[in-house]
Parts: sequence; C-alpha cells; structure tokens
Amino acid sequence: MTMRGLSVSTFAIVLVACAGQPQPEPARTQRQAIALNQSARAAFERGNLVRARQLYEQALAADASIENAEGIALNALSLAHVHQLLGEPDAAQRYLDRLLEDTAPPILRARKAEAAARKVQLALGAGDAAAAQRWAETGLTLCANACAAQAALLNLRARAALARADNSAALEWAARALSAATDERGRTERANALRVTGEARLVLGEQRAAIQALDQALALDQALGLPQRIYSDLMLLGRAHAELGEREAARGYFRRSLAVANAAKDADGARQAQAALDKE
Amino acid sequence: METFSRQDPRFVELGHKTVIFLILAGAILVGTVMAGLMHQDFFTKTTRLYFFADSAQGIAKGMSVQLSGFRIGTVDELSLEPSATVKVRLVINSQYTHFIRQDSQARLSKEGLIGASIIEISPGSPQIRQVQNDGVLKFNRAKDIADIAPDLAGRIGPILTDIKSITQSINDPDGDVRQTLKSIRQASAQLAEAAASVNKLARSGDERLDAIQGRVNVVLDRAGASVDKAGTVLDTLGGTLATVDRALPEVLLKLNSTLDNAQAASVNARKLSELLSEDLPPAVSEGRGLMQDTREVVQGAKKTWPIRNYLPPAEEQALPLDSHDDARPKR
Repeated sequence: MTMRGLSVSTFAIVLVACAGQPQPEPARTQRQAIALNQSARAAFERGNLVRARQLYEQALAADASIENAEGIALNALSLAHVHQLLGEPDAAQRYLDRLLEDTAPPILRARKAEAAARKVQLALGAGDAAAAQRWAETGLTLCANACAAQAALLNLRARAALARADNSAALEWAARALSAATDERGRTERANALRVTGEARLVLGEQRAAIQALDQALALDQALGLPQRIYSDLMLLGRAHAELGEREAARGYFRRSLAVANAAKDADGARQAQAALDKE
Repeated sequence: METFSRQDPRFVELGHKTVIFLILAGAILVGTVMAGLMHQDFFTKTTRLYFFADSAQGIAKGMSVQLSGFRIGTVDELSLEPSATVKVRLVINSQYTHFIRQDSQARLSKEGLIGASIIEISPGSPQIRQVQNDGVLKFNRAKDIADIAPDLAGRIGPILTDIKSITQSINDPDGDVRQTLKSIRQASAQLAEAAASVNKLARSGDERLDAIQGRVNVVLDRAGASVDKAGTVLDTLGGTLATVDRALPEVLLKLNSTLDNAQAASVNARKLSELLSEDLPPAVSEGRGLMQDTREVVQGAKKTWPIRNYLPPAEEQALPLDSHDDARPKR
C-alpha cells in the first residue's frame, strides 16, 4: 500500500470512529414532562396562572415518577412562583422547603440557591425582614459566588437590609449586585440594583443621588419593556422631586406613573399614583 | 547514508527514527481501529433474534431497535425466504434480553407519526420465560400516515353527518326542536289565558256573592214582609250558580288542553334528549380521537427537518428569577 493509500485509509477509519450517533431521544415520560413544562410556561405568559399551576403540577409529577432531579427542581421553583403570584404563600413555601431539604434525588446547589431567593421574596412579602436576611445569606452561601441567581440574591440581600432600615448596608449590597450583573442577561438585575440604590438614597435624604440612580434604572427598564418596573421608577422619581420641593416635576412623574398603571391595567398602582398626584 | 549523515545532522540515526515512527503510527492505527470497533459495539455481547414479515417495506439494515423508548439494538440482516416472506435478524445488546419474553412482539413503528422508522419490541408477560439466542418474535406493522389518513377521513365523515342532521333537525319547522318550542309557546299562552279566566271567574263570583249578601240582607230585613221577594232572591241565587256551572266546564276544558300541550312538549323534549344522547357521545369521542391523531401528526412534523430547526430546544425551564418581581414602592 502506498503512503497516499495508507493516509486515505487512516483518515477513513478515523472518520468512522468519530461518526457520532444522533442526539438520543429523551424517554417517553421525560418528553411528557418537557411538553407539560413548556405548556405551563406558555399559560403563565398568557397570564393564566391557574392553568399554569395545573400544568406545572403535572410536569412535576412526571419528573418525580422518573426521579429527574433537575426537572423536579425547575417545576417546583416555577410552582412556588405561581403560588406566590396567586397569593398562596403557604403552598409556595411547601414547594421551596421540599427543595431545600436534603432529599433523594439530590437537588443541585444552584437550584437550592434559587429556592432560597424565592424564600427571601416570600419573607419580604410577609414583612419578615429578619427571615429575608437569613434566607438571602443562605442563598448566597449555596450560590458560592458562581450561580445564575447570584445578582438576584445580592439585590434581595440589599432589599432585606432596606426593610430593616439598614440603608448603608442596602447601598453596599446593591453596589455588589450591580458589579455582579455584568452580562447582557443581567440587565434586569442592574436596573433592580439601581432602583434599590435610589430607594436607599431617598431614605438617607440624598435626593439628587437618588434621582441619578433612578434615571439610569428607568432607562434600563424602558429598554427591557417592563411596565411594572417603569411604574416603580417613575413613582420613586416623583417622590424624590416632591421631597426636593420641585412640585411640578413631581406631578409630571406621578402623572406618567398613573398613565403606565392604567395602560397596564394595574388598578392598585393607579390608585397609589392618583393618591400621590392628589397630595402634590 | 554516512555521507548524508555527515552532510546533514538530520540523517543521523535515521533507521532508529524510522522504526520509532512506524511503531507510533502502527499504535495510533490500532488504537483508532479499536476505538471504532468499540464505538460500533463490536465488543458488546449481543443476542440474535429473528422475526418474519410479509414485506421488507419500511425495514432497513441498521434500523434502530427500541424497548420502552430505549435503543437496545439494530436490524442486522434482511433476507427473502423461499415462501416469499422476509426474515429479519436483529442484534440485541445482551444486557437487555431479560426484558424480552417469548410472547414479546416486534412492531414496525415510527418516532412520532412521520419520524424515522424503528422496530419497537414490547416487553411481554413477566411470567413467561425470556427469549433465547436465535429466538423468533411475532411481528406486526404499525399504521403509518397513509393508513391513518383514510381512517381519519372515515371517522370525520360520520361526525359531519351527525352535526348536519342535528342542525337540520333544529332548522326544520316540522322538526322536534321547533315543534317542542311551538308546543311550549302554546302551552304558555294557554296557561296565561286560563289564569285570566280563573281570575275573571273569581272576580265574578266575588261580585255576585256581594250582591247575594246584599240581597240576603234585604231579604232578612224584609223576611216577614214578602215570601215572593224571597223567591226572587232564590231565583237570583240560582242564576248565579247557573253562571258558575256554565263557566266552569269551559275553564276545565282549557286547563285540560293546556295540560295536553304541556305533556306533548315534555314528550318532544324527551325525544330530543334521546336523539342527542345517541348522537353526542359518539361525536365527542370521535372528536377526541381526531384531536389525539392531529396532535401526533403535529408532534411528528415537529421532529422533521427543517421544522425542528425553528423550534426552541426541548428542555424544561424554570420561570425566570427576578429579585423585584414581588416589589412595589412605598409612598
């Protein structure tokens, strides 16, 4: 055999050896779980929370039947959030507690960190600032500086500090969140960090600094297209200007908040904006 | 060679270098071949199984063999038997043969409705012995889209016919639905009429009773004075009773007619209900089957190129975490 023939044969053998099989198809139950999870997400995005809850429960049951730890974690986290939005905090707590317990199959630490972040939100919703701080610290420990939820956990830690009136700590944690959310996907958390900074500065009586942070948060939220956050930024900006005695500017921001809340069909938000407007 | 070595130091110990090169090249070649053979399951212990099919259509060498969604082997060889049947040899990874029983069946199926063809083996009954090397399985063919399409068309036809007949029945002025509504309308009108008659009769009775009472008073006042006048009062009383007697049969007749109409309406309603109870359940179950088939077609289409390139990856996701998705500023 010539050198050329040998080279061609070797190349052919290498090609055969490297030829991979097509991506293996997931098992039937896992395919069902995936389909249910995607339908639940679609229902959630349509605003049909009851249907989303139903579908996430079915997806969770499918994953539990094949001990798919990652699927169990993803669906339980989603269910906790849906229950939280439906005003059912006890049910949300149950799902999160199950994830945070040491169970079989073992749940990834990164998912447990996300569960801890949801626990912080529930604690803040219940007005329990001490529990919020405790869960934020647990989440950051589980995260170990390297999980997707890190920036959100830092922001939640800042919010917990704000809830305890520890404004300088809130500024410190928000600054850490701002530097942790550097990539494109972290824009939401950057805006959140700036909003927390604005809130803390307002409490400290530093209205000009607050306006600067809130202007940046508003620009980011407008780019992200998040009506609820735009509303929050506008309300805080109105409050900052009102505290500076700039009543016309404050009224302008409250009017914009009212328009955003009305457009987003947020009756509670519209009521708050109208009350602020009447006060000025 | 020494001349070359003196001229160019690269030729020093060229022989040794050549031997080392050849050994390395040989080792790489052997390693590559071994890796290829391992990848192709050459060293995996396998079991051969057979089945016989009427036709080789849809079956090809190298086709995947699956059990409960797992790939457990491949189609190794197809051959035409003297009886014109096709003998198919399967090579199964021996670690999975304990799932395959002697009553297990091979089935030509597709991943989705129009996906790649596979041979699917059913696990069989646990109490039956497991299949041995060179064992023979029963074979049947799953329906493909060409088989299902006429079946679907055949199933849609009766549904459409049922819907058409129900619509016709509703639209037909002499049909059960219209007749029922008509009877109910008549019954309502007659009930109202009967109620008016009863009211009128009651009013008339009251008026006459008042008159009687007045006259009785007069009679009592003049009781001793005139027996003739008492006779007149009695005549008047008789007339009143006669009026009641005349009016009562008419009212009773109307009430009877009303009850007849109500009964007819009830019969018609029952007939309609029976008609619907016969037609609706098959229509609903057929519709459900049709939806299931449609879902399978869509699932199959989703797996085909190039549609699958436009779909998001099939994986589970959690709802995105946002540290402020519960927050509202205080005012």
